[in-house]
Amino acid sequence: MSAPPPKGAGAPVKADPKMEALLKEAYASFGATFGYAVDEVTVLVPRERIVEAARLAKGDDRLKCDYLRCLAVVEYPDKFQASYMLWSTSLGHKFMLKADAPKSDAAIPSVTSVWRGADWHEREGSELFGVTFTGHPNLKHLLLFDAFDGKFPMRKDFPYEEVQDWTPEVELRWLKEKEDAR
Amino acid sequence: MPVEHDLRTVDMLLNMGPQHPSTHGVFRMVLRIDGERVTDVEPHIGYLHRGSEKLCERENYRQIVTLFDRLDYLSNFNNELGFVMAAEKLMGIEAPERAQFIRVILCELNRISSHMMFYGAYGADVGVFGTSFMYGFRERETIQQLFESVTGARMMHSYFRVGGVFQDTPDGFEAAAGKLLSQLKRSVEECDRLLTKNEIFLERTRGVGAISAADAVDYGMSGPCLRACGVAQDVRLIEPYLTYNRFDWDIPLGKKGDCWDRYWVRLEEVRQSIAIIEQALKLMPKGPIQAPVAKFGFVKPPVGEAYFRAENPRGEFGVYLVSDGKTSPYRVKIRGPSFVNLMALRQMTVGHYIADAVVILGSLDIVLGEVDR
Repeated sequence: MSAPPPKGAGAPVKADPKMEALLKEAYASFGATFGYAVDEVTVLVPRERIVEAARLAKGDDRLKCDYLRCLAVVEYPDKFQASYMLWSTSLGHKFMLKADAPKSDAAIPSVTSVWRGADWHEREGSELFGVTFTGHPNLKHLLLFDAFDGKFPMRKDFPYEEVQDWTPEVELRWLKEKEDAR
Repeated sequence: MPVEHDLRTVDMLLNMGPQHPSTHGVFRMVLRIDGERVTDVEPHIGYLHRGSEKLCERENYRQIVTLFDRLDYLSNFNNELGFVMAAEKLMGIEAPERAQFIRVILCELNRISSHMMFYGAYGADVGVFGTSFMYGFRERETIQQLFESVTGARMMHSYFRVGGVFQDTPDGFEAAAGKLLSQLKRSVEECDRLLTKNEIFLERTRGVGAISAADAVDYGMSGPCLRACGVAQDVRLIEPYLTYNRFDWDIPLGKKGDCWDRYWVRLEEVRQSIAIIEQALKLMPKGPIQAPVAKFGFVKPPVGEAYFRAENPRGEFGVYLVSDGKTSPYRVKIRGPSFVNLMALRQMTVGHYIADAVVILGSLDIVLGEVDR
Protein backbone atom coordinates (compact mmCIF):
# COMPACT_ATOMS: atom_id res chain seq x y z
CA MET A 1 0.00 0.00 0.00
CA SER A 2 1.39 3.37 -0.96
CA ALA A 3 1.18 6.50 1.16
CA PRO A 4 -0.76 9.55 0.03
CA PRO A 5 1.38 12.11 -1.81
CA PRO A 6 2.97 14.89 0.26
CA LYS A 7 1.02 18.10 0.47
CA GLY A 8 1.68 20.71 -2.18
CA ALA A 9 3.50 18.34 -4.51
CA GLY A 10 2.77 18.39 -8.24
CA ALA A 11 1.59 15.41 -10.22
CA PRO A 12 4.07 12.51 -10.27
CA VAL A 13 6.31 12.16 -13.30
CA LYS A 14 7.44 8.80 -14.64
CA ALA A 15 10.18 9.96 -16.97
CA ASP A 16 10.65 8.28 -20.31
CA PRO A 17 14.15 9.47 -21.36
CA LYS A 18 14.25 7.48 -24.60
CA MET A 19 10.99 8.91 -25.91
CA GLU A 20 11.89 12.39 -24.68
CA ALA A 21 15.21 12.35 -26.56
CA LEU A 22 13.51 11.03 -29.69
CA LEU A 23 10.86 13.74 -29.63
CA LYS A 24 13.36 16.50 -28.88
CA GLU A 25 15.29 15.45 -31.95
CA ALA A 26 12.21 15.09 -34.18
CA TYR A 27 10.67 18.39 -33.13
CA ALA A 28 13.94 20.35 -32.88
CA SER A 29 12.93 22.87 -35.55
CA PHE A 30 9.43 23.50 -34.19
CA GLY A 31 10.22 25.74 -31.24
CA ALA A 32 8.36 23.25 -29.09
CA THR A 33 8.02 23.14 -25.31
CA PHE A 34 8.37 19.73 -23.70
CA GLY A 35 6.75 18.46 -20.54
CA TYR A 36 5.17 15.45 -18.91
CA ALA A 37 1.63 14.23 -18.31
CA VAL A 38 2.57 11.60 -15.70
CA ASP A 39 4.03 8.93 -17.98
CA GLU A 40 3.80 10.48 -21.42
CA VAL A 41 5.85 13.25 -22.96
CA THR A 42 3.93 16.35 -24.03
CA VAL A 43 5.07 18.43 -26.99
CA LEU A 44 3.58 21.91 -27.20
CA VAL A 45 4.01 23.31 -30.71
CA PRO A 46 2.92 26.71 -32.11
CA ARG A 47 -0.60 26.33 -33.45
CA GLU A 48 0.36 27.42 -36.99
CA ARG A 49 2.54 24.34 -37.25
CA ILE A 50 0.22 21.78 -35.65
CA VAL A 51 -0.72 20.12 -38.96
CA GLU A 52 2.93 19.87 -39.91
CA ALA A 53 3.72 18.45 -36.47
CA ALA A 54 0.88 15.94 -36.81
CA ARG A 55 2.10 14.85 -40.26
CA LEU A 56 5.55 14.33 -38.80
CA ALA A 57 4.16 12.27 -35.91
CA LYS A 58 2.30 10.02 -38.33
CA GLY A 59 4.80 9.84 -41.17
CA ASP A 60 8.19 9.81 -39.43
CA ASP A 61 9.76 6.35 -39.35
CA ARG A 62 10.88 6.81 -35.74
CA LEU A 63 7.45 7.93 -34.50
CA LYS A 64 4.80 6.26 -36.73
CA CYS A 65 1.92 7.48 -34.56
CA ASP A 66 -0.92 6.28 -36.76
CA TYR A 67 -3.54 6.08 -33.99
CA LEU A 68 -5.24 9.13 -32.49
CA ARG A 69 -6.35 7.99 -29.05
CA CYS A 70 -8.15 11.15 -28.07
CA LEU A 71 -8.39 14.85 -28.79
CA ALA A 72 -9.33 17.08 -25.89
CA VAL A 73 -9.88 20.81 -25.65
CA VAL A 74 -9.26 22.46 -22.27
CA GLU A 75 -10.08 26.02 -21.32
CA TYR A 76 -7.42 27.60 -19.13
CA PRO A 77 -7.83 31.10 -17.65
CA ASP A 78 -5.72 32.67 -20.38
CA LYS A 79 -5.96 30.29 -23.32
CA PHE A 80 -7.51 27.27 -24.98
CA GLN A 81 -5.41 24.18 -25.35
CA ALA A 82 -5.98 21.24 -27.66
CA SER A 83 -4.25 17.97 -26.70
CA TYR A 84 -3.75 15.20 -29.22
CA MET A 85 -3.05 11.86 -27.55
CA LEU A 86 -1.15 9.71 -30.01
CA TRP A 87 -0.19 6.06 -30.13
CA SER A 88 1.81 3.98 -32.54
CA THR A 89 0.22 0.60 -33.27
CA SER A 90 3.45 -0.71 -34.80
CA LEU A 91 6.02 0.64 -32.33
CA GLY A 92 3.86 0.66 -29.21
CA HIS A 93 4.76 4.08 -27.85
CA LYS A 94 2.77 7.17 -27.05
CA PHE A 95 3.03 10.88 -26.59
CA MET A 96 0.87 13.97 -26.47
CA LEU A 97 0.91 16.82 -28.96
CA LYS A 98 -0.45 20.17 -27.80
CA ALA A 99 -1.38 23.47 -29.36
CA ASP A 100 -2.50 26.68 -27.67
CA ALA A 101 -4.89 29.32 -28.92
CA PRO A 102 -5.40 32.69 -27.24
CA LYS A 103 -8.90 33.55 -26.04
CA SER A 104 -9.15 36.52 -28.38
CA ASP A 105 -8.53 34.35 -31.43
CA ALA A 106 -9.72 30.83 -30.63
CA ALA A 107 -8.71 29.00 -33.78
CA ILE A 108 -6.50 25.97 -34.35
CA PRO A 109 -5.88 24.30 -37.73
CA SER A 110 -7.73 21.02 -38.15
CA VAL A 111 -5.86 17.71 -38.27
CA THR A 112 -8.67 15.77 -39.99
CA SER A 113 -6.44 15.54 -43.07
CA VAL A 114 -3.94 13.55 -41.00
CA TRP A 115 -6.24 11.34 -38.89
CA ARG A 116 -9.85 10.98 -40.01
CA GLY A 117 -10.67 10.06 -36.41
CA ALA A 118 -10.18 13.70 -35.39
CA ASP A 119 -13.44 14.63 -37.11
CA TRP A 120 -16.00 14.33 -34.33
CA HIS A 121 -13.58 15.31 -31.57
CA GLU A 122 -12.98 18.61 -33.33
CA ARG A 123 -16.67 19.19 -33.97
CA GLU A 124 -17.30 18.60 -30.29
CA GLY A 125 -14.52 20.97 -29.24
CA SER A 126 -15.83 23.58 -31.61
CA GLU A 127 -19.44 23.57 -30.41
CA LEU A 128 -18.75 23.14 -26.68
CA PHE A 129 -15.74 25.49 -26.37
CA GLY A 130 -16.03 27.73 -29.40
CA VAL A 131 -12.61 26.81 -30.73
CA THR A 132 -12.70 26.98 -34.53
CA PHE A 133 -10.77 24.16 -36.13
CA THR A 134 -9.92 25.85 -39.40
CA GLY A 135 -9.95 23.64 -42.45
CA HIS A 136 -12.38 21.12 -40.95
CA PRO A 137 -14.66 19.92 -43.76
CA ASN A 138 -17.91 19.91 -41.77
CA LEU A 139 -17.80 21.95 -38.58
CA LYS A 140 -21.50 21.67 -37.70
CA HIS A 141 -23.05 21.07 -34.31
CA LEU A 142 -22.66 17.47 -33.18
CA LEU A 143 -24.10 17.04 -29.69
CA LEU A 144 -26.14 20.23 -29.40
CA PHE A 145 -29.12 21.00 -31.57
CA ASP A 146 -28.49 23.14 -34.62
CA ALA A 147 -30.39 26.16 -33.31
CA PHE A 148 -28.50 26.31 -29.99
CA ASP A 149 -27.56 29.97 -29.83
CA GLY A 150 -23.97 31.12 -29.98
CA LYS A 151 -22.93 30.20 -26.44
CA PHE A 152 -20.43 27.52 -25.51
CA PRO A 153 -21.58 25.26 -22.65
CA MET A 154 -18.22 23.85 -21.61
CA ARG A 155 -16.67 27.27 -21.01
CA LYS A 156 -16.18 28.14 -17.38
CA ASP A 157 -18.43 31.20 -17.60
CA PHE A 158 -21.43 29.20 -18.80
CA PRO A 159 -23.65 28.66 -15.75
CA TYR A 160 -24.90 25.19 -14.80
CA GLU A 161 -28.43 26.46 -14.38
CA GLU A 162 -28.80 27.82 -17.87
CA VAL A 163 -31.17 25.75 -19.94
CA GLN A 164 -31.96 26.18 -23.59
CA ASP A 165 -34.96 24.13 -24.57
CA TRP A 166 -35.35 22.78 -28.00
CA THR A 167 -38.71 23.76 -29.41
CA PRO A 168 -40.03 23.58 -32.96
CA GLU A 169 -40.29 27.39 -32.97
CA VAL A 170 -36.58 27.75 -32.18
CA GLU A 171 -35.67 25.31 -34.90
CA LEU A 172 -37.96 27.01 -37.46
CA ARG A 173 -36.61 30.45 -36.62
CA TRP A 174 -33.08 29.14 -37.04
CA LEU A 175 -33.95 27.58 -40.40
CA LYS A 176 -35.54 30.83 -41.55
CA GLU A 177 -32.50 32.84 -40.52
CA LYS A 178 -30.34 30.43 -42.47
CA GLU A 179 -32.58 30.82 -45.52
CA ASP A 180 -32.50 34.60 -45.23
CA ALA A 181 -28.73 34.61 -44.97
CA ARG A 182 -28.55 32.73 -48.23
CA MET B 1 -47.07 -0.39 -72.89
CA PRO B 2 -43.43 0.27 -73.79
CA VAL B 3 -40.89 0.42 -71.01
CA GLU B 4 -39.54 3.88 -70.45
CA HIS B 5 -35.78 3.85 -70.48
CA ASP B 6 -35.24 7.51 -69.83
CA LEU B 7 -37.00 7.74 -66.49
CA ARG B 8 -35.44 10.43 -64.33
CA THR B 9 -34.59 9.07 -60.90
CA VAL B 10 -33.62 10.99 -57.79
CA ASP B 11 -31.97 9.81 -54.60
CA MET B 12 -34.29 9.41 -51.67
CA LEU B 13 -33.55 10.43 -48.10
CA LEU B 14 -34.62 7.95 -45.46
CA ASN B 15 -34.66 9.00 -41.84
CA MET B 16 -33.95 6.25 -39.30
CA GLY B 17 -34.39 7.15 -35.67
CA PRO B 18 -34.11 8.67 -33.13
CA GLN B 19 -36.99 6.41 -32.11
CA HIS B 20 -36.24 3.24 -34.00
CA PRO B 21 -35.80 -0.20 -32.46
CA SER B 22 -32.70 -1.04 -34.46
CA THR B 23 -30.74 2.05 -33.48
CA HIS B 24 -30.12 0.79 -29.92
CA GLY B 25 -31.19 3.97 -28.22
CA VAL B 26 -31.68 7.49 -29.45
CA PHE B 27 -29.48 7.46 -32.49
CA ARG B 28 -30.60 8.92 -35.78
CA MET B 29 -29.10 8.34 -39.18
CA VAL B 30 -30.18 9.85 -42.45
CA LEU B 31 -29.65 7.42 -45.29
CA ARG B 32 -29.43 8.59 -48.88
CA ILE B 33 -30.65 5.68 -50.93
CA ASP B 34 -30.67 4.75 -54.57
CA GLY B 35 -33.30 2.03 -54.78
CA GLU B 36 -32.27 -0.38 -52.04
CA ARG B 37 -28.63 0.71 -52.02
CA VAL B 38 -27.28 3.15 -49.48
CA THR B 39 -25.24 5.88 -51.14
CA ASP B 40 -24.60 8.10 -48.13
CA VAL B 41 -25.09 8.06 -44.37
CA GLU B 42 -25.20 10.99 -42.04
CA PRO B 43 -25.27 10.06 -38.34
CA HIS B 44 -26.93 12.48 -35.93
CA ILE B 45 -26.11 12.13 -32.26
CA GLY B 46 -26.65 14.16 -29.13
CA TYR B 47 -30.18 13.15 -28.18
CA LEU B 48 -28.89 11.82 -24.86
CA HIS B 49 -26.38 14.59 -24.19
CA ARG B 50 -26.43 15.36 -20.47
CA GLY B 51 -23.28 17.39 -20.16
CA SER B 52 -21.51 14.79 -18.03
CA GLU B 53 -18.13 16.41 -18.61
CA LYS B 54 -19.43 19.76 -17.41
CA LEU B 55 -21.03 18.19 -14.34
CA CYS B 56 -17.71 16.54 -13.50
CA GLU B 57 -16.22 20.00 -13.00
CA ARG B 58 -18.70 20.70 -10.22
CA GLU B 59 -18.90 17.42 -8.30
CA ASN B 60 -16.20 15.88 -6.12
CA TYR B 61 -14.30 12.75 -7.01
CA ARG B 62 -16.59 10.39 -5.17
CA GLN B 63 -19.74 11.85 -6.69
CA ILE B 64 -18.32 11.68 -10.20
CA VAL B 65 -18.19 7.90 -10.02
CA THR B 66 -21.99 7.93 -10.11
CA LEU B 67 -21.90 10.03 -13.29
CA PHE B 68 -19.58 7.55 -14.95
CA ASP B 69 -21.96 4.70 -14.14
CA ARG B 70 -24.44 6.35 -16.42
CA LEU B 71 -22.24 6.73 -19.48
CA ASP B 72 -22.04 3.26 -20.92
CA TYR B 73 -24.91 1.79 -18.93
CA LEU B 74 -24.15 -1.76 -20.02
CA SER B 75 -20.64 -1.82 -18.61
CA ASN B 76 -20.83 0.33 -15.50
CA PHE B 77 -17.84 -1.19 -13.70
CA ASN B 78 -15.54 -0.55 -16.65
CA ASN B 79 -16.54 3.11 -16.75
CA GLU B 80 -16.02 3.59 -13.05
CA LEU B 81 -12.64 1.95 -13.40
CA GLY B 82 -11.59 4.38 -16.14
CA PHE B 83 -12.25 7.35 -13.91
CA VAL B 84 -10.84 6.10 -10.61
CA MET B 85 -7.71 4.79 -12.33
CA ALA B 86 -7.19 8.16 -14.03
CA ALA B 87 -7.38 9.87 -10.64
CA GLU B 88 -5.03 7.26 -9.14
CA LYS B 89 -2.58 7.79 -11.98
CA LEU B 90 -2.60 11.52 -11.35
CA MET B 91 -2.06 10.97 -7.62
CA GLY B 92 0.63 8.34 -8.14
CA ILE B 93 -1.06 5.75 -5.95
CA GLU B 94 -2.19 2.18 -6.44
CA ALA B 95 -5.11 0.31 -4.98
CA PRO B 96 -4.25 -2.62 -2.66
CA GLU B 97 -3.80 -5.96 -4.37
CA ARG B 98 -7.09 -7.43 -3.23
CA ALA B 99 -9.00 -4.41 -4.53
CA GLN B 100 -7.26 -4.80 -7.88
CA PHE B 101 -8.34 -8.42 -8.12
CA ILE B 102 -11.90 -7.54 -7.20
CA ARG B 103 -11.86 -4.89 -9.92
CA VAL B 104 -10.55 -7.34 -12.52
CA ILE B 105 -13.19 -9.94 -11.66
CA LEU B 106 -16.07 -7.47 -11.72
CA CYS B 107 -14.88 -5.76 -14.91
CA GLU B 108 -14.50 -9.06 -16.73
CA LEU B 109 -17.91 -10.24 -15.54
CA ASN B 110 -19.29 -6.95 -16.79
CA ARG B 111 -17.62 -7.57 -20.13
CA ILE B 112 -19.38 -10.93 -20.35
CA SER B 113 -22.76 -9.47 -19.45
CA SER B 114 -22.27 -6.66 -21.98
CA HIS B 115 -21.32 -9.10 -24.74
CA MET B 116 -24.33 -11.22 -23.81
CA MET B 117 -26.51 -8.17 -24.27
CA PHE B 118 -24.88 -7.66 -27.65
CA TYR B 119 -25.53 -11.29 -28.51
CA GLY B 120 -29.21 -10.97 -27.75
CA ALA B 121 -29.71 -7.66 -29.51
CA TYR B 122 -27.64 -8.65 -32.51
CA GLY B 123 -29.63 -11.81 -33.00
CA ALA B 124 -32.76 -9.67 -33.01
CA ASP B 125 -31.13 -7.30 -35.54
CA VAL B 126 -30.49 -10.07 -38.04
CA GLY B 127 -33.88 -11.68 -37.50
CA VAL B 128 -33.60 -14.30 -34.75
CA PHE B 129 -36.54 -12.91 -32.85
CA GLY B 130 -36.64 -13.94 -29.25
CA THR B 131 -34.34 -16.93 -28.98
CA SER B 132 -31.01 -15.13 -28.88
CA PHE B 133 -32.47 -12.53 -26.53
CA MET B 134 -33.57 -15.27 -24.14
CA TYR B 135 -30.14 -16.91 -24.26
CA GLY B 136 -28.27 -13.67 -23.73
CA PHE B 137 -30.51 -12.34 -20.99
CA ARG B 138 -30.54 -15.58 -19.03
CA GLU B 139 -26.80 -15.21 -18.45
CA ARG B 140 -26.98 -11.46 -17.95
CA GLU B 141 -29.53 -11.95 -15.21
CA THR B 142 -27.37 -14.38 -13.20
CA ILE B 143 -24.37 -12.06 -13.53
CA GLN B 144 -26.42 -9.13 -12.32
CA GLN B 145 -27.60 -11.08 -9.32
CA LEU B 146 -23.97 -11.61 -8.40
CA PHE B 147 -23.31 -7.88 -8.87
CA GLU B 148 -26.23 -7.11 -6.61
CA SER B 149 -24.81 -9.34 -3.89
CA VAL B 150 -21.51 -7.43 -4.04
CA THR B 151 -22.57 -3.83 -4.56
CA GLY B 152 -26.24 -3.73 -3.62
CA ALA B 153 -27.28 -2.46 -7.04
CA ARG B 154 -28.03 -4.21 -10.29
CA MET B 155 -26.71 -1.58 -12.65
CA MET B 156 -25.63 1.76 -11.17
CA HIS B 157 -23.13 0.37 -8.70
CA SER B 158 -20.93 3.32 -7.57
CA TYR B 159 -18.68 0.65 -6.14
CA PHE B 160 -15.16 1.65 -7.13
CA ARG B 161 -13.42 4.35 -5.12
CA VAL B 162 -10.26 6.27 -5.81
CA GLY B 163 -7.69 3.99 -4.19
CA GLY B 164 -9.84 0.91 -3.78
CA VAL B 165 -13.38 -0.36 -3.64
CA PHE B 166 -16.34 0.51 -1.44
CA GLN B 167 -16.55 -2.74 0.54
CA ASP B 168 -15.19 -6.25 0.53
CA THR B 169 -16.97 -9.05 -1.29
CA PRO B 170 -19.66 -10.87 0.71
CA ASP B 171 -19.15 -14.31 2.22
CA GLY B 172 -19.35 -17.06 -0.33
CA PHE B 173 -18.53 -14.77 -3.24
CA GLU B 174 -15.81 -17.04 -4.63
CA ALA B 175 -18.09 -20.07 -4.55
CA ALA B 176 -20.95 -18.17 -6.20
CA ALA B 177 -18.63 -16.80 -8.88
CA GLY B 178 -17.18 -20.26 -9.51
CA LYS B 179 -20.64 -21.72 -9.93
CA LEU B 180 -21.58 -18.86 -12.26
CA LEU B 181 -18.51 -19.50 -14.41
CA SER B 182 -19.24 -23.18 -14.94
CA GLN B 183 -22.77 -22.24 -15.94
CA LEU B 184 -21.46 -19.54 -18.29
CA LYS B 185 -19.10 -21.99 -19.97
CA ARG B 186 -22.02 -24.24 -20.86
CA SER B 187 -24.19 -21.40 -22.09
CA VAL B 188 -21.50 -19.86 -24.29
CA GLU B 189 -21.40 -23.16 -26.17
CA GLU B 190 -25.19 -23.01 -26.49
CA CYS B 191 -25.02 -19.48 -27.87
CA ASP B 192 -22.28 -20.58 -30.22
CA ARG B 193 -24.40 -23.45 -31.53
CA LEU B 194 -27.43 -21.22 -32.10
CA LEU B 195 -25.88 -18.47 -34.25
CA THR B 196 -22.23 -18.79 -35.24
CA LYS B 197 -22.55 -21.35 -38.03
CA ASN B 198 -26.18 -20.69 -38.80
CA GLU B 199 -26.68 -20.47 -42.57
CA ILE B 200 -29.00 -17.45 -42.44
CA PHE B 201 -26.81 -15.66 -39.93
CA LEU B 202 -23.75 -16.23 -42.11
CA GLU B 203 -25.56 -14.92 -45.18
CA ARG B 204 -26.58 -11.76 -43.36
CA THR B 205 -23.22 -10.98 -41.76
CA ARG B 206 -20.35 -12.41 -43.80
CA GLY B 207 -18.76 -9.82 -46.10
CA VAL B 208 -21.15 -7.14 -44.84
CA GLY B 209 -19.75 -3.88 -43.49
CA ALA B 210 -16.13 -4.82 -43.93
CA ILE B 211 -13.47 -2.23 -43.12
CA SER B 212 -9.74 -2.54 -43.69
CA ALA B 213 -7.26 -2.51 -40.84
CA ALA B 214 -5.64 0.69 -42.12
CA ASP B 215 -8.97 2.53 -42.25
CA ALA B 216 -10.00 1.26 -38.83
CA VAL B 217 -6.77 2.53 -37.27
CA ASP B 218 -7.10 5.85 -39.07
CA TYR B 219 -10.58 6.35 -37.65
CA GLY B 220 -9.31 5.43 -34.21
CA MET B 221 -11.59 2.42 -33.86
CA SER B 222 -10.90 0.14 -30.94
CA GLY B 223 -12.05 -2.94 -29.11
CA PRO B 224 -13.68 -5.90 -30.86
CA CYS B 225 -14.38 -3.74 -33.93
CA LEU B 226 -10.66 -3.12 -34.44
CA ARG B 227 -9.56 -6.63 -33.52
CA ALA B 228 -12.05 -8.01 -36.06
CA CYS B 229 -9.81 -6.38 -38.71
CA GLY B 230 -6.84 -8.36 -37.42
CA VAL B 231 -5.13 -5.59 -35.45
CA ALA B 232 -3.89 -7.06 -32.17
CA GLN B 233 -4.60 -4.02 -30.05
CA ASP B 234 -6.02 -4.56 -26.61
CA VAL B 235 -5.19 -2.06 -23.88
CA ARG B 236 -5.09 -4.89 -21.35
CA LEU B 237 -2.10 -6.21 -23.28
CA ILE B 238 -0.34 -3.20 -24.81
CA GLU B 239 -0.55 -1.01 -21.69
CA PRO B 240 -1.36 -3.44 -18.88
CA TYR B 241 -3.20 -2.01 -15.91
CA LEU B 242 -4.51 -3.65 -12.72
CA THR B 243 -3.17 -7.21 -12.64
CA TYR B 244 -3.87 -8.19 -16.24
CA ASN B 245 -0.23 -9.04 -16.97
CA ARG B 246 -0.41 -11.88 -14.42
CA PHE B 247 -3.02 -13.87 -16.31
CA ASP B 248 -2.72 -16.16 -19.27
CA TRP B 249 -5.19 -15.44 -22.04
CA ASP B 250 -5.47 -14.90 -25.79
CA ILE B 251 -6.66 -12.06 -27.96
CA PRO B 252 -9.14 -13.33 -30.53
CA LEU B 253 -8.52 -11.74 -33.92
CA GLY B 254 -10.73 -11.58 -37.00
CA LYS B 255 -9.52 -11.57 -40.57
CA LYS B 256 -11.82 -9.54 -42.78
CA GLY B 257 -13.25 -6.95 -40.41
CA ASP B 258 -16.84 -7.70 -41.43
CA CYS B 259 -19.92 -8.08 -39.22
CA TRP B 260 -19.39 -11.78 -38.67
CA ASP B 261 -15.83 -11.22 -37.49
CA ARG B 262 -17.00 -8.57 -35.03
CA TYR B 263 -19.61 -10.98 -33.70
CA TRP B 264 -17.15 -13.85 -33.46
CA VAL B 265 -14.48 -11.79 -31.69
CA ARG B 266 -17.01 -10.83 -29.00
CA LEU B 267 -18.17 -14.38 -28.45
CA GLU B 268 -14.58 -15.56 -28.21
CA GLU B 269 -13.81 -12.75 -25.76
CA VAL B 270 -16.45 -14.15 -23.44
CA ARG B 271 -14.44 -17.39 -23.29
CA GLN B 272 -11.23 -15.46 -22.62
CA SER B 273 -12.90 -13.41 -19.89
CA ILE B 274 -14.04 -16.60 -18.21
CA ALA B 275 -10.43 -17.81 -18.27
CA ILE B 276 -9.22 -14.53 -16.73
CA ILE B 277 -11.81 -14.64 -13.94
CA GLU B 278 -10.97 -18.26 -13.12
CA GLN B 279 -7.30 -17.37 -12.68
CA ALA B 280 -8.13 -14.22 -10.74
CA LEU B 281 -10.35 -16.13 -8.31
CA LYS B 282 -7.48 -18.54 -7.64
CA LEU B 283 -4.85 -15.83 -7.16
CA MET B 284 -6.96 -13.34 -5.18
CA PRO B 285 -5.21 -12.58 -1.88
CA LYS B 286 -6.72 -11.49 1.40
CA GLY B 287 -5.98 -8.02 2.67
CA PRO B 288 -7.10 -4.42 2.73
CA ILE B 289 -9.34 -3.06 -0.02
CA GLN B 290 -8.75 0.67 0.25
CA ALA B 291 -5.58 2.76 0.18
CA PRO B 292 -5.60 5.83 2.44
CA VAL B 293 -6.23 8.69 0.03
CA ALA B 294 -9.17 10.70 1.17
CA LYS B 295 -9.05 13.25 3.99
CA PHE B 296 -12.51 13.86 5.40
CA GLY B 297 -13.88 12.01 2.40
CA PHE B 298 -12.40 14.38 -0.17
CA VAL B 299 -9.89 13.29 -2.77
CA LYS B 300 -7.49 16.00 -3.93
CA PRO B 301 -5.14 15.04 -6.76
CA PRO B 302 -2.16 17.37 -7.28
CA VAL B 303 -2.00 19.96 -10.05
CA GLY B 304 -1.39 18.23 -13.36
CA GLU B 305 -2.90 16.16 -16.10
CA ALA B 306 -3.16 12.48 -16.94
CA TYR B 307 -4.70 10.38 -19.68
CA PHE B 308 -5.69 6.90 -18.66
CA ARG B 309 -7.21 4.32 -20.94
CA ALA B 310 -8.79 0.99 -20.19
CA GLU B 311 -10.24 -1.75 -22.34
CA ASN B 312 -14.03 -1.59 -22.11
CA PRO B 313 -16.29 -4.18 -23.73
CA ARG B 314 -16.70 -1.69 -26.59
CA GLY B 315 -13.09 -0.66 -26.89
CA GLU B 316 -10.68 1.86 -25.52
CA PHE B 317 -12.26 3.99 -22.82
CA GLY B 318 -10.09 7.00 -22.16
CA VAL B 319 -10.29 9.62 -19.44
CA TYR B 320 -8.27 12.81 -19.72
CA LEU B 321 -8.17 14.38 -16.30
CA VAL B 322 -6.85 17.87 -15.58
CA SER B 323 -6.63 18.84 -11.93
CA ASP B 324 -5.97 22.20 -10.35
CA GLY B 325 -5.48 20.68 -6.91
CA LYS B 326 -9.06 21.20 -5.74
CA THR B 327 -11.69 18.68 -4.72
CA SER B 328 -13.28 18.78 -8.19
CA PRO B 329 -11.43 18.16 -11.44
CA TYR B 330 -10.65 21.16 -13.64
CA ARG B 331 -11.55 19.32 -16.79
CA VAL B 332 -12.56 15.77 -17.65
CA LYS B 333 -12.65 14.60 -21.23
CA ILE B 334 -14.26 11.23 -21.80
CA ARG B 335 -13.21 9.29 -24.85
CA GLY B 336 -16.01 6.80 -25.37
CA PRO B 337 -15.20 3.88 -27.63
CA SER B 338 -18.68 3.91 -29.18
CA PHE B 339 -18.29 7.60 -30.04
CA VAL B 340 -15.18 6.90 -32.06
CA ASN B 341 -16.33 3.62 -33.59
CA LEU B 342 -19.46 5.34 -34.83
CA MET B 343 -17.35 7.72 -36.94
CA ALA B 344 -16.53 4.83 -39.28
CA LEU B 345 -20.20 3.95 -39.82
CA ARG B 346 -20.43 5.83 -43.10
CA GLN B 347 -17.41 4.09 -44.56
CA MET B 348 -18.84 0.68 -43.65
CA THR B 349 -22.41 1.23 -44.77
CA VAL B 350 -22.12 2.96 -48.14
CA GLY B 351 -22.75 0.51 -50.96
CA HIS B 352 -24.77 -1.95 -48.92
CA TYR B 353 -28.53 -2.52 -48.74
CA ILE B 354 -30.80 -0.67 -46.31
CA ALA B 355 -31.42 -3.89 -44.39
CA ASP B 356 -27.65 -4.28 -43.98
CA ALA B 357 -27.38 -0.82 -42.43
CA VAL B 358 -29.21 -2.24 -39.41
CA VAL B 359 -26.88 -5.24 -39.24
CA ILE B 360 -23.78 -3.05 -39.53
CA LEU B 361 -24.92 -0.60 -36.86
CA GLY B 362 -25.76 -3.53 -34.57
CA SER B 363 -22.32 -5.05 -35.08
CA LEU B 364 -20.68 -1.86 -33.77
CA ASP B 365 -22.53 -2.42 -30.49
CA ILE B 366 -22.92 1.25 -29.61
CA VAL B 367 -24.31 2.57 -26.35
CA LEU B 368 -25.70 6.06 -26.77
CA GLY B 369 -25.13 7.02 -23.16
CA GLU B 370 -21.44 6.97 -23.93
CA VAL B 371 -21.65 8.49 -27.40
CA ASP B 372 -23.57 11.54 -26.22
CA ARG B 373 -22.23 11.80 -22.65
